[in-house]
Amino acid sequence: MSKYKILWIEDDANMIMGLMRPLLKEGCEIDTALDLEKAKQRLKEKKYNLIVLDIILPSGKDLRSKEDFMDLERFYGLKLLESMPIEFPPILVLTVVTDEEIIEYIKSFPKVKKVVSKGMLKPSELKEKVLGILESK
Amino acid sequence: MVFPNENFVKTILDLYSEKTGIPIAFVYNNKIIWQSSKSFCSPYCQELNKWCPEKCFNDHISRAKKEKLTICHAGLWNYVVPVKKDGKNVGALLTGQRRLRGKEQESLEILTSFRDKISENQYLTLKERYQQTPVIEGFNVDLLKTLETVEERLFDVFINWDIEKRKILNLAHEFLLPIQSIIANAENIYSELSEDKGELKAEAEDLMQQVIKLAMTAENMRSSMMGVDNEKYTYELRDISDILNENIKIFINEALRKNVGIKDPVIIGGVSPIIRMSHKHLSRAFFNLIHNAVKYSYHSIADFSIPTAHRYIDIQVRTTGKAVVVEISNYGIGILPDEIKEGKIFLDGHRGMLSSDRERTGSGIGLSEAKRIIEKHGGDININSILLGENAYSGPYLTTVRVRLPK
Repeated sequence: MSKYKILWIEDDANMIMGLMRPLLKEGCEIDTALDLEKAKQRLKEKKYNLIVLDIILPSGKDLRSKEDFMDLERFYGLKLLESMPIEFPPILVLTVVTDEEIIEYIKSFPKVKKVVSKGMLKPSELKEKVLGILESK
Repeated sequence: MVFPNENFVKTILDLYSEKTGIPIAFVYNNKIIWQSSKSFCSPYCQELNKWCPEKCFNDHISRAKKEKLTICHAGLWNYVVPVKKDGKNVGALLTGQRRLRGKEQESLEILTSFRDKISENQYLTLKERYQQTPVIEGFNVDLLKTLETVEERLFDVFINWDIEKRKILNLAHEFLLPIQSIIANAENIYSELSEDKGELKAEAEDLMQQVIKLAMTAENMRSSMMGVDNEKYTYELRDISDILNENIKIFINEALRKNVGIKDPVIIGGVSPIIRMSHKHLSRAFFNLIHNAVKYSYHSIADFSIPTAHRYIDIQVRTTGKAVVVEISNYGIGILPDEIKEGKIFLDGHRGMLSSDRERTGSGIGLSEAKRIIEKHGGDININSILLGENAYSGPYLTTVRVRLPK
């Protein structure tokens, strides 16, 4: 049984938790972060073996003015990728985005080991891909 | 990146060229994305493109970063107008390929400099083409105003495309998230139910297959809206039989409910070919084709007059030279010859006349999507629908879809 620590950065984690079930049964510890701010906090508090990252994420900031809303962006997952230091763990990006330009950009980050489409993914397939990355390190 | 309004943009550029007599190109992300028809290009440029296309291309790209009047590496004059979005340059319009009155000396010096680099015959041909290239008085106010209009229209295209993409992304999210949840839960239920719960396992499996069909339909819609060139295709070497078997599994129960069997694919030659494919895309293409084969097969429970031999869907795979050919045949509702001959059957949203009865649902994008995907793989698709009965409207037909893919 594996004891890998995985951080799943996904705002809809509650809806698609079933995806992680085989990994949980495998003995993996899975922490979730629903937005960018919580993700940063988790990464400061604990060392993970792998990050599973959604690209479309809320910022998690406290929005108190019209300007705060005007400044909002869509791809906070990308912002996280851009700011990740080299010592952070490898990343599997799990996203509904299929736009070629965005995917090419995501793949340009050396930390990104796989980009997987969300939508028709089976939990068994996700487990195979995650363990594939973890066991190849 | 290709925009869905490609034809619209090409039309604007052609209209500009028709009005001014001058060619124009749109450069974006270091690529020439669109340009007006070749008939507007200077004979000199057409000749140069035969023996130094890369040099011409690189020269275009570097000059697209400058503004206003520039001279190209071969001595012709161009005008550059940046296209901006949100205050940033996103591309440039490059127009010209002409000799400029009052600046002929500069152009001639560049032409003459080629003499040492090419043969005498080549030089003479080049000189002739140069002399055939029209001279213009300059990039005057009218021309620049027309250019501005083109720039404004392109800007509109960018904005509309941004809105379209956002809409498609939101739609994808709305559809695919609940679908993902159901697929995940269905597989978990299936794999954790013990073997003695056979019926429940079968229900869980059926649930998974049904929701995969829903997901594929959603993907068809999204892809149809986005355009195939905007999606990321990731190629790998894989066995074509895997894709066929995956999709047969999805439809086998639906086919059985119609008392139609899907035969295991017959691999002619014995060895299933490995081809270079973007698995999720090609899988969707064959999903659409097998779905059609099942959908348009006879519903033979009610009609026992249909011979047993006609209650099967056949799939054959063979290798011919450098191609792999997959043929999917079914008996039942056919396609009228005109719809095949005129290519209507592959048009987005088109449903064959013979299929448009109440029993058969369909979006009309399955075949067009399959064709786009197969062509993106460098392949092609053809359909043959042979009338077996006497009446073209009542059938029956034997319909064969033939897909050819490069090895």
